[in-house]
Amino acid sequence: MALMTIAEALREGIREEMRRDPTVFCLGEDIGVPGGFGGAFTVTLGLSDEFGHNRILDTPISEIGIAGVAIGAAMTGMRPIADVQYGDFLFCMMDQLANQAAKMTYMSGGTVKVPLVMRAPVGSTRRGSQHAQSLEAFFTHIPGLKVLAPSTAYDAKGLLKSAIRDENPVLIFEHKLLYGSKGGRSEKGALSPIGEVPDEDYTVPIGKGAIRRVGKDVTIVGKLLTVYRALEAAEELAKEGIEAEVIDPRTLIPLDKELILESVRKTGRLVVVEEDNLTHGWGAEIAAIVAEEAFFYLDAPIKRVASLDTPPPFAPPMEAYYLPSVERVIAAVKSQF
Amino acid sequence: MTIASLNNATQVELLTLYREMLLIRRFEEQCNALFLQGKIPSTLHLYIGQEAVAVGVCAALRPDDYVLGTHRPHGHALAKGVTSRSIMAELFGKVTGCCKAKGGSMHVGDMSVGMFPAIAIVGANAPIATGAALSAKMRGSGQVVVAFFGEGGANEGAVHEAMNMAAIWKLPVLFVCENNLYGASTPVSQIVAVENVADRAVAYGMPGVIVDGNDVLAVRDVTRTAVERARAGEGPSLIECKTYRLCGHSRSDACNYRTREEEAEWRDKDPLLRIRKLLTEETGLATLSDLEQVEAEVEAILTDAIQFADESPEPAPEDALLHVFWEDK
Amino acid sequence: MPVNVIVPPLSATADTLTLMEWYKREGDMVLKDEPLFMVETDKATLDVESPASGRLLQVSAKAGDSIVSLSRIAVIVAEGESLSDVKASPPVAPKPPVKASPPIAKPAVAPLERRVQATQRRIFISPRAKKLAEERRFDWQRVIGTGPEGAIVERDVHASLNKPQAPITLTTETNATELVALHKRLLGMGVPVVYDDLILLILARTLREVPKMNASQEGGVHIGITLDVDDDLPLAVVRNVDKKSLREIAKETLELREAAKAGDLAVERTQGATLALTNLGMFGIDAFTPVIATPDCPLVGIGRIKTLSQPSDVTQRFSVWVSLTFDPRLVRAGTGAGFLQSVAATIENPMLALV
Repeated sequence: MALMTIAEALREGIREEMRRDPTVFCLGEDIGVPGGFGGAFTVTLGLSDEFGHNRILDTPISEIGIAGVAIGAAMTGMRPIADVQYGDFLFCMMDQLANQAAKMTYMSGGTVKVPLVMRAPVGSTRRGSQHAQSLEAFFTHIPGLKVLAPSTAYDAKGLLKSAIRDENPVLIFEHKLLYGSKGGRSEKGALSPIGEVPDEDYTVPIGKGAIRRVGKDVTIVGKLLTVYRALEAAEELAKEGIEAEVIDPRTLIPLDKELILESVRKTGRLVVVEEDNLTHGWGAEIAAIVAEEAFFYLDAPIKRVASLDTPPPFAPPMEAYYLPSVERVIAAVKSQF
Repeated sequence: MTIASLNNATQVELLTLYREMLLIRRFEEQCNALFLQGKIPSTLHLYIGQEAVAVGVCAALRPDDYVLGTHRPHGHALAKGVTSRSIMAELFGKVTGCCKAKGGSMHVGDMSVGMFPAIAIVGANAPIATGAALSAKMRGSGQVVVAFFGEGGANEGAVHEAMNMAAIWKLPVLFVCENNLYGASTPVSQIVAVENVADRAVAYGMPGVIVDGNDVLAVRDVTRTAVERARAGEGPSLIECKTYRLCGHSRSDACNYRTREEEAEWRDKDPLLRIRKLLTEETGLATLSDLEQVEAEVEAILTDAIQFADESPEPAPEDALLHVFWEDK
Repeated sequence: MPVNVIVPPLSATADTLTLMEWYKREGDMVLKDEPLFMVETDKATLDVESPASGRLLQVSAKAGDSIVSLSRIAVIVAEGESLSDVKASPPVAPKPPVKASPPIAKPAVAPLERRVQATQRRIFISPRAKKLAEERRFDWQRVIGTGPEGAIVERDVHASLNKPQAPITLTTETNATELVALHKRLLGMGVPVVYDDLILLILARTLREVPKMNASQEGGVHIGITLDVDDDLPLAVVRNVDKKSLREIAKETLELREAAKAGDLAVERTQGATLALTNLGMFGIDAFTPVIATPDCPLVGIGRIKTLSQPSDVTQRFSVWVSLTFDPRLVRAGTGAGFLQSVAATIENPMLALV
């Protein structure tokens, strides 16, 4: 058992899988260049020393190419882990993900598999509009993709390993403020959730959520950074006698629906917190599921707390205003009582 | 014609090439007829006129090499060895199709013979081909990968990224541009500023070769050279095959964007006429009755394929739910 | 038969309510249980549902009018019936034959600051609270919500359920001449019935018309009767009364009475009543307020059958007091009043129990 940041846990997960399976390799921009960054957030730092530059493969700035190469390699016996420098760049490779990776197994009648992993950092961190979006929801709307969102070091390593061993395209979204990256790549305002990570091989199953805090009065569902915002809100609410249950689905597709429904059946209230903007979002989907499947257990209208419907703004006061704050979570919960 | 012009092709080889080209031609003609009879429920992008490209390229490949087709993939699939039965059944939307009726005309493929499910987003197959070539190199399998695309696809950013990556990593991949002069209805002169698509190869640091795409032997030979280079670890090549689509872009196309004179000119250069002439008049390697025998074989294959497709069961509607994710058998 | 639209006795403190709005116009077709009009009490505005399906006719009050509890303000005429049927039907709700007993305890009232505004048209209730109320057969319409937007939420239903609530007793006197004659005729024909048996039959038939009065989730009509055994009044239950003939009912009550006297009334024959009947006529009691034993089971009381005639009269006339006691949180007062009126009307004209 060792204490690790999420960046370290991911790195160890990659290292162990690359040692275990020679078909696993990494590709991406700036991931293995000597004297470089080890990816934008240090996840692959030092791995090329052990595995060389053929298996920690630096690519040109070619997002379509990175995605397509990963797909082609995955379809022919390799298990690529593609590093996307910023989640926003996923839009550059949308065709490869949405039309190719997601549909290849389906349109081949189940005769072809695409076991690729793509890791993408999300979250607004004072970088303006094009390096800040939380765009998980786009990919949850594409049948054929699995979408993961680990928020702890333990889950990051365990889910990454499950993703690498999965036979389908898996997108892993990581939050920039949760990496705990050090040195020049550390982030202002980062939470650095350092956690215990077992030394022995383990996986976290895809499709199983986690209850981060037990409560009886309201269910708050968050993902990535908003899990921590929800937990902070829950502590404040507890001072006023409201006990919130905080659920972290960990896997967005497939979703552990039953965990959420079970909690709402108990509490009668649901607040969904996400960093993506509000309209037509992931929160709306969670709300719809609960409204459809646990309606008669609801004691108050479902509330969504999300970023505002604007692109991520740059200036810190505007950014703070735009993001789903602890205060907004608390206000949403209180409006249900 | 001298024997040299045959590039050492034997009678058997030539008859094999002819049989494959004829199979594609007759397959596509039958598809057209079956569409009109309502047997094929989708539109079709037919390969009529370009048979020498697919057959010539695939003649230079090993069975375990990979081919990535386009939205016009029947010719690529047949040339790579996907059976007529499984393609025809796929077009009919039957469970015995090569994609179990999930793919249809634009996605036919069979990985067991090296044919990727065809990729119908123009140019999107190129980076995937580069990835397959990276995989072949990493696994040390010696496989070569071919990505087909048109002169229209050549302008996709995906193709550019794929060629650059293949070149920097010296990957065993061939980018085969089938320049049939029209991207749907748009003539090549409107969309490409250089004279030849192959001229761009120099910018990627790879050889660019231009070949008469209606001459199956010429196509086979330039492909062989590129394949040898690729297997030797020297990297990718760009091959531009100058050809012509003798049919419309899709089933609904009346070809009003081009002249009947131009079409007649290219009909004279029909790759099937060309190989027949080579086999008979020019070399005397085959008699008319040899050709008739090949034609009879092809007709038998197609009759069987159509009957197979016709008699095969339709999928259950709820089969739509299968294969969204990989299912272990 | 046309059905009267009666102003429910919704206010515990006043006999008049204000008619706020009709949701239907005269001549409209309405469905049973569809909101028909809105009244304002001294506490809240409430919707009143239609007692029957049919055409709304003879509307005699308009929005803004003060209306007297239990007065008739319209009739519902079913398809195929005509207004002449209305005139022929007995006037059911004359001025004050039915009186609400004064409230013993104040009804559940939520904290004032979160009360529903008097002008609010709809009562909001959370799905969770509604589900709970329905499981407990609890009439939530009178609960005052404290949740978001003034909605009734789970805690409001719990609070109301947990508060002691005095039952309401409604009483009415009705003409029993025909009932006495029928009883006599049946005895003359050698059918050994007692008055209880006839009342059981009448109650079962009336429950069919007013199923909301039946305290059963699954719809069975099981009526308990108090048996007169050595000063004790044990309750025994006749099951599925609505599916039994008078002769079967009589046979069963006799059996129950004998079993009770012998002291071997099985426990299961004393449980599961969906309505209870207590007849204190044999004790010479005219009218009384029965006590609810099980909270959700309404109770019908029958008093002594009194003669109204002088010994010199050629034809004898009789009357009887009938009462109904129930928890107003579980059954709306208007529903109770309607039920009691029907029971009284059927006692007055027992032939109605046959149709």
